[in-house]
Amino acid sequence: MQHQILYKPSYAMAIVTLQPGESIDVEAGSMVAMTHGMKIKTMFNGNASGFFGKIWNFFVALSRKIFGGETMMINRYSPPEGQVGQVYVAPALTGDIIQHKVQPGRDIIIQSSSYLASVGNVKIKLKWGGLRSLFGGEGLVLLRATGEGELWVNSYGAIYEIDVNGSYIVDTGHIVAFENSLNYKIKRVGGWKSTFFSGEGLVCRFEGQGKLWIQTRNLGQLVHWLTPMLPS
Amino acid sequence: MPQYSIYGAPEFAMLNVDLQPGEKIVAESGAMVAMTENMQIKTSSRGGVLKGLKRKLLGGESFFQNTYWPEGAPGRIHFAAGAPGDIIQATLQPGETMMMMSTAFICSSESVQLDTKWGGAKGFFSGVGLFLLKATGPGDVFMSAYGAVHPVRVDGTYIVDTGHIVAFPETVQYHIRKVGGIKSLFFSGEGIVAEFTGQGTVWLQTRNPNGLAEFLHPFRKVERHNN
Amino acid sequence: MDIKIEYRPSYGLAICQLQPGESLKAESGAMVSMSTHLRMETSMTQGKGVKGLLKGLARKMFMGESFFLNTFYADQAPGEVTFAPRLPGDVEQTMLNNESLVIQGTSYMASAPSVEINTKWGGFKTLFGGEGLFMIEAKGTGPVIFNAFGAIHTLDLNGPFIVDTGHIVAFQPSLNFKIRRVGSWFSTFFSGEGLVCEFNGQGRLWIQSRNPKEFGSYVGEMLPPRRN
Repeated sequence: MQHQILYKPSYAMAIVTLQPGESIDVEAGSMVAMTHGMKIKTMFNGNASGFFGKIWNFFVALSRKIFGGETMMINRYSPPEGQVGQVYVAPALTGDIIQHKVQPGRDIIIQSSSYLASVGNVKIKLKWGGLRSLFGGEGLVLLRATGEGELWVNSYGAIYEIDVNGSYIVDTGHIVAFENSLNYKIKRVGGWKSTFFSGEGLVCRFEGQGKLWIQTRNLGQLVHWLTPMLPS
Repeated sequence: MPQYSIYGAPEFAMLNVDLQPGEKIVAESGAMVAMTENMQIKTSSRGGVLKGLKRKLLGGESFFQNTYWPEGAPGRIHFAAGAPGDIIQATLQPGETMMMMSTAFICSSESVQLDTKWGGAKGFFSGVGLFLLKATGPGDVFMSAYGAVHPVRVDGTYIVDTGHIVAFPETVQYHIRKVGGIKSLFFSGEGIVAEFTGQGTVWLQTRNPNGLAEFLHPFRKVERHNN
Repeated sequence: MDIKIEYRPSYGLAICQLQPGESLKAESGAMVSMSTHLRMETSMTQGKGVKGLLKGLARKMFMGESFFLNTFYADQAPGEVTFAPRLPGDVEQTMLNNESLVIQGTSYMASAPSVEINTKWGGFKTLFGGEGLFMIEAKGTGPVIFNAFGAIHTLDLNGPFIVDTGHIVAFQPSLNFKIRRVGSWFSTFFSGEGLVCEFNGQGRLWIQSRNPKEFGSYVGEMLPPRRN
């Protein structure tokens, strides 16, 4: 499997070349183009199998859709028998794509709408953050990527890497992904007046040592900015 | 002196500000992306209570702004606007003024005076709740552009589609007009234009928010009517 | 006429300098700024009488864009006019040399009057395109300016290649295209991909790295509902 990411940082598009027998899982709706003859299998997001597994998958996918702004479906692309195939992948929003190697014991936590694609033995699980994350205000739904393989993550805006060593505060809408070594907690910003009127709402406090990837744009803020200009 | 750096320009620019204890920065509500834990925040209403009330009724721009400062040690805070695009930094001399679209304001040094100047009556805007913000120096002002920043040196006259205006100094005057004749008025799709006269640099953005709003309009959910 | 494109690839702006006597045709609503003395006239897309009107109407209905073009004239003195598309993304210019270029409807921005602009109704192929895949055919000699949502990726095809319909910007008419399902019926409905375009033959294809419809649905859902 080879890949390249073009048109960084604003309109990034990943081109993945698959050898016979390889396959790539891609967030539904993200296919730009592909070579002739690729096989496509559409599945609900989620990893369990069996009858109950399928029901569970359905609910996981449904909750992701409601809270995560992500679709319920994943498409698995594989090249035709004995041939090499290529898939071009890009997310819906303008922004960057970064590729990350997932290694055993070094899980990556991803903000749900940032998941783009994965290859290999990478399991994507919904990380239950408790009621706190439901009330994150911006539907902060997190996924955990474990196992071994490659992971592609997209952002809305540019990706800015922060090496946390101590603590850092991030507006929830700007979180892309972070290393599992960091602890996080959703909290209010400032006093009560600030929480309601500052426009910042709830923020996420990261603590520990590890890498944190944030995005320089926030969909909630885009909506806020554009709303006065919308015709009724 | 606060240290500023811009990351991710011109596509999705984000402003990084490093402050020493004692230094403050005033920012648009909702602009904060991330910050060190020791940053303090105070939310207050913008100057001019009556004006503020009028704005609040009309919706759009927020009534409040946030002042941030670091406690005990130097702090870092990152700001970004809602629109995709670049950031303009203007360093104003004492008394020097810059007029900008209300939606373009990101943050400014505490020493900059911000006044709202109602632009609606002059036919500047097609949106409700939009107005012109007047910033008076001394100090730095940071503005966001939707798109890339295209400065135009006006020396005489120049016509600009109003949706593409970010900011302009007081040394240029503007006059709102329609472009073309009556037929063009309705069908050209050009909308309102501003004719600038005088001498100064007008800051344009290479994308028009009205265009984005028009594009997204059909994708919106339709309101349900409950009786 | 001198055309320069700045702020590529994210927020392309086409800056056109017109000499006295020259003119430029552009998509309605695309003008950003212009010298005060330039003259602008609005007309319907090419085609005479009723046939022309229908072509224009068809363009409006299927592209979601108005069916008028603006022509900017520099009469006595040279002047400048700048253009930008509605969405963030790249702007590209190409010089046609007595040839044709098929451009996806919303990607057409501007062209010299020596280039004939016709709305291309692709018959049933495009009808089932499902994504308003309406085309413009630019024919003749002269510059043509088009835009993309996202970055423009150029491919020189030699054989079959499949593209999601929302990502097509332009292609040379030497290529054949066929709209078809992406996979099984299940995939067609649930994959989020829907219908795709299968190109075949030899020729140049320009694609964009973002899909306006995907973007529109994603953000549109989060906007306050509209009244009608």
